[in-house]
Amino acid sequence: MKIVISKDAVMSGLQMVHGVVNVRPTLPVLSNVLFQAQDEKLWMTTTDLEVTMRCAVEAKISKGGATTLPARRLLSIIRELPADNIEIEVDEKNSASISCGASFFKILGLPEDEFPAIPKYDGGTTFTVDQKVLKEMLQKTFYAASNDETRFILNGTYVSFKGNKMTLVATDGRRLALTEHEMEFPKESESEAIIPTKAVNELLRVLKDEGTVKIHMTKNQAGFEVNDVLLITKLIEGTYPNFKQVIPGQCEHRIPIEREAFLAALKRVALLTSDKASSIKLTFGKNKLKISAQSPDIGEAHETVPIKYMGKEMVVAFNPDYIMEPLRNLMTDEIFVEMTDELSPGVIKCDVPFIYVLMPMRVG
Amino acid sequence: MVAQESRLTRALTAFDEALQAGRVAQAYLVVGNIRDEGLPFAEGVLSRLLCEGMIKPCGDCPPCRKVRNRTHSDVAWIEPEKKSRTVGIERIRDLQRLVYQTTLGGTWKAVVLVGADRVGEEASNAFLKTLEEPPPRSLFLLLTDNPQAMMPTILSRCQRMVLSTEQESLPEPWQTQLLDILSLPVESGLVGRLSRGILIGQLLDQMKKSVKEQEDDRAEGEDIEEDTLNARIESRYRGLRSMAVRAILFWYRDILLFLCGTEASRLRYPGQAEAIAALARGVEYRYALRNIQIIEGMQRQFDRNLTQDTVIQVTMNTLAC
Repeated sequence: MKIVISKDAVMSGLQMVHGVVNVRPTLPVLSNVLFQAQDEKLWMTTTDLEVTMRCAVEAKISKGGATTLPARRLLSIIRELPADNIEIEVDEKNSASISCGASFFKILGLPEDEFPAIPKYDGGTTFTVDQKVLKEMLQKTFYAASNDETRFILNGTYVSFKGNKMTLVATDGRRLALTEHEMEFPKESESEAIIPTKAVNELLRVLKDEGTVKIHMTKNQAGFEVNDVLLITKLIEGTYPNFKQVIPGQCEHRIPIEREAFLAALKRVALLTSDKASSIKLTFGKNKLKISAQSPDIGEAHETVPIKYMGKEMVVAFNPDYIMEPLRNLMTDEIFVEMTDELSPGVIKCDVPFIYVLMPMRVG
Repeated sequence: MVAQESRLTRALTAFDEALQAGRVAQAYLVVGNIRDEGLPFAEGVLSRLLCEGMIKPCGDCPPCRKVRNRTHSDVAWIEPEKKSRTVGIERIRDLQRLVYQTTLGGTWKAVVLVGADRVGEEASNAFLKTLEEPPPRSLFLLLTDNPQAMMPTILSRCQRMVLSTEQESLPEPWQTQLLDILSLPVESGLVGRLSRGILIGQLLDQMKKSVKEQEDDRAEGEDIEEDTLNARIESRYRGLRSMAVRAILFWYRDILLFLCGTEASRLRYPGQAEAIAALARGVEYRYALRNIQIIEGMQRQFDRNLTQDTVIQVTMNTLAC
């Protein structure tokens, strides 16, 4: 294999795929990136056997071929190279010579056939969605997924294509984020899957604000195709909990609040929470919301935010991180907090299809 | 060797029958010599489950080759690692990801736990959760030559597949030298017991030195890194030390058996019956039983990577004879 490639092209490709490479791989070849040079393109593939990422960059190919090279080391080398054009030549022993200006590196690779086969998704259904839509939907939900390995089924984002809607849900059992997007597809294409959090994080890096993404759903894996980038992931097995039953049907109070002002006040008051006293208290009074926190060892803080509320006074406590996360990931100016009483779950909504259900903490 | 092969064949035939009847257990405890029996059994089982050939296992198709090379993406091979030669909780978390996610091949997924008795306590508890409710078409193969060191809660969730019960003895000349030390009349009191501990410690040091010399000779001419060589020496030495602890355990079991009136011919070490009888005369039944628990604890302390001298001295200090 012999190619000439620009530094920017090889950097962008490696930066796209290197996140998949596991720090502690189970097989030595999983530390490597698969290089395949063909048709004036250099294809780069990485996998951890859970998520596979593949992308192509333009290259001038003198001699086609394939090899695997250590991904992180290669990225470090390319990053430091002085000139723009890089020549990479790989011999039959998978030893790669990298020349760039006055610099020369020789790095040892592993044969192409040791690299796991790229998963194929035969059958299944394909949906096309705007990248921006999917990106925003993922941003609004992914943070609510659990990382508790004893409930592995919650370690991902549930994606469903049903009833002419794409629905994304993530929950860790204490809070739940749900978002929907209307789209048309035949009834026989209806499908659902739980995408592992690692794949969601990688996908968020791939998705841009323009263009579309093709989503391939099969029984065992999901594929996301954006131009020359392909991400294939295994799915989490099992039946996702019935999340609809935890979404409160009706509420007594629907309180509009300015999102940014609310978030800024929460951030300030949360500075006075601690591991021992990790709750933040919200007191809904006549046209004002008092946010307060108190830690016996540290001190206390409170701040008032103007709201439109004329109901009875209500005091409810939440985990500050859990209430700030949806506010950080929403774009709207105004949000609606729906409450029934001090012990019922609180709900955050906005003027787009988004629901965030949050269990309150007991007020001491 | 022929008997070993026939036991392995019988076990694989039993698995074939279970597979055909659709009654494959979710977890098998494979008891026997790990290298000669456990690993061939695991490869045989996995080839049967994952083979794409007409006659399974064909041995030639990509899944069969990947099983042989341990590169199949739907199989996790977990072995004791680090200096402590234990399976840590991180590796158990890795296997959880494999178990709870879909397969790439669309068929079975499997976990082979090589040396299942070397799983730490925290990791065992995490593993137990996975073992309790695995998704369908998941298979666990727990290979061990020391099932008594495993948690009963894990054992109770596995179908036992006994390939052999005979555990490897300490090679000569170490076995004879160790039995000679154990046969020495113990001087009364702590000083006597501690001096025996010093002799055992010296014997273990000689074993390590001999392993190092053998491995250094073997590595001559090989392109091998120093770390790899040291890991190889340490691993082989730890294997020998475990055999030595097992030999000591059998010695104290013989003392207990003698106290219970067992004939000399039925002891593990009938040639040392006189020395065993002499030691047994000076100890009560309850202390003889406690000695066995102390020696079992000795292996656990070694597994926790405590220093050799400390473990030996603490053990000898608490023994009753």
